[in-house]
Amino acid sequence: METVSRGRRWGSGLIAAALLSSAVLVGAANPAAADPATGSGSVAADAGAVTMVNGEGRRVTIPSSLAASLASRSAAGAAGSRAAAGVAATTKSRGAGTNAVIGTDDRTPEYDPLGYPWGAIVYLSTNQGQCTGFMLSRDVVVTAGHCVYSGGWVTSYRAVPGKNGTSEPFGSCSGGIADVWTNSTWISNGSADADYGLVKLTCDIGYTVGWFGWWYSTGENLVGTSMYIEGYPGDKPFATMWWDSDPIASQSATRLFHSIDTAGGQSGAPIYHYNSTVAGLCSGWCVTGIHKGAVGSQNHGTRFNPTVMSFINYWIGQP
Amino acid sequence: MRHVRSVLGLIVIVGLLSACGVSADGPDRSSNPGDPTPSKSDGPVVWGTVVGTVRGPAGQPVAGVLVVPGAVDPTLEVPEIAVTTDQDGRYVWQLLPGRYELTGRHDRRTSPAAAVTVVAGERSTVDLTLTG
Repeated sequence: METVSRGRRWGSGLIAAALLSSAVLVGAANPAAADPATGSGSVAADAGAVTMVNGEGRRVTIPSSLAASLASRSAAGAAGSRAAAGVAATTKSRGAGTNAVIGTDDRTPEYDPLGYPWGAIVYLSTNQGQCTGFMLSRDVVVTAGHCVYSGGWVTSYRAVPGKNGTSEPFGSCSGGIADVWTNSTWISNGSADADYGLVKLTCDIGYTVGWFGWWYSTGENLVGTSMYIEGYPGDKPFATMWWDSDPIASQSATRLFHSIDTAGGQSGAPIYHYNSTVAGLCSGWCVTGIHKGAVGSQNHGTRFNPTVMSFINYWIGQP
Repeated sequence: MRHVRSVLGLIVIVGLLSACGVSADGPDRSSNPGDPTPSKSDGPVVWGTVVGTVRGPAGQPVAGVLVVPGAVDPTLEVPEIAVTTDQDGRYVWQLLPGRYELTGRHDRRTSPAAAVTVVAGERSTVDLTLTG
């Protein structure tokens, strides 16, 4: 499959960028206008400004008045042009590989890595290692902060949605240090509460593979709710997609803790659910967190909240 | 005329960004895009580096070995990046400070865990040997 790629769009799309930025941020300051579905959460406290940083030293700051103004938000996913035949199920079907589970490892190979939304899960290889990411728009791959910056910036990457072994049915997008973004808190102190990042791709491969929906509601209790994590563990056959599901064990405003089985290579994988757990916020397969790794006897991930989604939505709105 | 319109457009853009309260600095061209070391905007050094070579039982470097850190301190977070050895059997991990145990995994072979204490701004060397 031919690699999908086109040049950077900063120049030609600058006016559109400014207008989109305005729309996103002004919208974020007005909950009624931006998102009529308010959910059950309480109004979030002002979490402070979000300063976004990339490897070229570019900095973009969203002020606190705009970054943390909504108790709940959401957006629908999109199936993409190739996925019209894909049928979303309300529960995941276990494929032929179920019986291959060894010991307490409950991970299951994805039997339909090309179907929606699993084709929107991204094998993200960089000069620092391999992670997972997921499409959240036509050209934004969300991942963990440490997948783009771990004491040094990722300087080259290749994003392959729906990769299945050596097969890359939808092509790939490649780029470098200018495309990877995280937040200044992660850069300055490696805080576990700030471990999120993204890649603003140089191609619109999301139009082909689609993207997940997403939601957050700051007041909801996710403990006891089963979530899926799916990605590319490095201890399984090369570049194969695996998933597991378990209930959320505990939560904070910024993180979700659980016992869902994962391994190295799955940092940046989506923590997702069929329909938002707050009714009406997001329909279909929807993400509410980013897997990041292990701590103690648990796994954990970054929970979507106003700060995280202000960061992501800014880049979704950019041309 | 096209130039004048471009200038006017730029003014409008700056105005829109200011109205939204968004500040955006241009690229810092003093940093080298090809240099993986932190640029001046990266703040204090909070990561340490672990490097090493993974060898087989006969002492030969082994490529494609998954090098997995585990935390000795239960409060320490372990990132789930898949770091594998290159053609010369070498690997590089960037980790937050703390005590870890590193293990190499390749096919059905593993290495004994090797302890390392990661210190911010410092580089440690941990070589591993696959057994079996």
